[in-house]
Amino acid sequence: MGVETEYALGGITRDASIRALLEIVSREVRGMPGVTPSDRFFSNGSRLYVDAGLHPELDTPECSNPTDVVRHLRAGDRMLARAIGKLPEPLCSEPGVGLFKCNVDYSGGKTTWGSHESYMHVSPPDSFPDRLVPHLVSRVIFTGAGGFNPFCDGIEFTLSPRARHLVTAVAGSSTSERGIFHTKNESLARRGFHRLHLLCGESLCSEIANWLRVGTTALVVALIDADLYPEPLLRLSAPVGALRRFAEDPTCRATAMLDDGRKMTAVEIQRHFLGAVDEHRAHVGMPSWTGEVCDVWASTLDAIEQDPESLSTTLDWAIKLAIFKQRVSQKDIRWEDLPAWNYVIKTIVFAVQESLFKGRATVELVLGKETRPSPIPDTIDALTPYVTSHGLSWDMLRPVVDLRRELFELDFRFGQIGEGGLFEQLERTGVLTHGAPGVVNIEEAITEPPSEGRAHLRGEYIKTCAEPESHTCFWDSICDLRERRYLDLSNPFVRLPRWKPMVDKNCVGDDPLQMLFNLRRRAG
Amino acid sequence: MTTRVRKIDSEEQKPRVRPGRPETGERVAASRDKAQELLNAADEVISKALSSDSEAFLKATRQQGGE
Repeated sequence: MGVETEYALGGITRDASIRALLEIVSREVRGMPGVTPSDRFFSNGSRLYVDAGLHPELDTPECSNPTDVVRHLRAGDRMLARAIGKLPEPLCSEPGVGLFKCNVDYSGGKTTWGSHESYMHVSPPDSFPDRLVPHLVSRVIFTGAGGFNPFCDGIEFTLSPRARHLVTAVAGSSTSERGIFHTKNESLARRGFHRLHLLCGESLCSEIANWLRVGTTALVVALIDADLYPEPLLRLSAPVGALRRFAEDPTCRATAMLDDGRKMTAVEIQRHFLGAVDEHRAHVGMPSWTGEVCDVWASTLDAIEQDPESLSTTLDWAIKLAIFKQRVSQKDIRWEDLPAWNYVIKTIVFAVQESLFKGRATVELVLGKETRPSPIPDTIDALTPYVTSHGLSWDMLRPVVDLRRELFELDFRFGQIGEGGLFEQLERTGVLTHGAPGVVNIEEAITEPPSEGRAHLRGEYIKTCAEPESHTCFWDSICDLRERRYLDLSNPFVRLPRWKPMVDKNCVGDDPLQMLFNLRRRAG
Repeated sequence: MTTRVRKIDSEEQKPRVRPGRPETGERVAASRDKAQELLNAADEVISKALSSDSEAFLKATRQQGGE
């Protein structure tokens, strides 16, 4: 299993920044070229490349347990934090420059940055969507990054800002019409192995949230692979609607309708899967770390059920909710008034859009406080009884609008990589309780690969290779262009290095240039 | 190939951050205390982290997504 993280890169000259960032990382961490000039694998088995949209994506190496995934996620953040801190002038002085683990764009660009998960499995891919969707929908109560609905003109907290970008239950696209379940079927391994590729998750800062995210999902995948999946199937009537209901409810008491007419909370659905995994925790088909995940999974669900706010130093969304609520109250605005403010703001935005007004409609203009007349005087008059009956006042509209931008910046800053990040700074003060079992030696994970599997072989070869620049690395192979041979990593569990000549139907031909061309085509 | 040797004496072997395993029962009250600590710390941290112009910051970070 592994996780991909797309980082938002702030700053004006992003193309220059991203080139500089890659150069710094390539200089400081031993690596090997990937299949494009802006693509590199490292000695810890991970990969960094420039993704579409000109932002860096860092992929963890393939790991066999959630603890290693979290170690490598943290190591990747640390590696990039050091690099971003070394950006030369004038790049480092640009407004907003930095790397951010933020899942959505609040500037109106409707962008979302992905944090994809991969899980190896052997069962047929078509056996997964129906069985996995209820887990993916309900896990949001501990995997949500927290933030705001990016499509709302007001301030609408959500456990999962990315949920609004998921518009269907099952889909093959990753850039539009995204689905909760992604049907991409690209194994990156030899026949018999499949890769489940999920795009519904979010970049998280909390170790334990990341650990539960990949641990619980890997265990549900293991249930399917071991033919232990609990029957009958829980089938949600409307998975996208259920995800949004769960995400919009920080009390975690919202229910979703099943096809059989029952209503279940996210906690209840999660307990259904936890029960099935726990029942088989000693089964030979389940991983050795099953029991440990079950124990933390159970206590997390207990805490969510009893008092979700008790997790306000543990889970990303709960930490953010506590901070945001405090910030709102410091501005003399009541958190409970936000839905009413949202109605007011949405109505004003709609009215301005429907009017013939062209230009920037400031709060002062729409309220008639400028020398020019308001473009929507009738709307303001019609809204005034609503404003007063809800205990609001027009004088507070400007502070609410300013607060909205500030909260969005706070959400962006929460996952900023390096010392400027909110989460990072809170962690330094020691107030967070987010540690995951066994996640130690993060520094070592910057250079060392996982102890088993093909990532181990990849990393060890990159560490010891005398001429890495004469190689091209990909997930399932390393090509030695000088010796015209390739290291076959198509078996995810490979233990011993096995070099093969380039003339091989499973490789890519005997011409190194042709081979590179083919690799690039595969990578695209 | 080299065999990886873990540094068993390294400082990093010790847990770096307080464990995230949720508390239950009466210990929930303790986590309430931790929440207050968080809010006290957040005040100072936020004042350092926020820019003076959130709108400009959001514009500077605006970009196309990937995937």
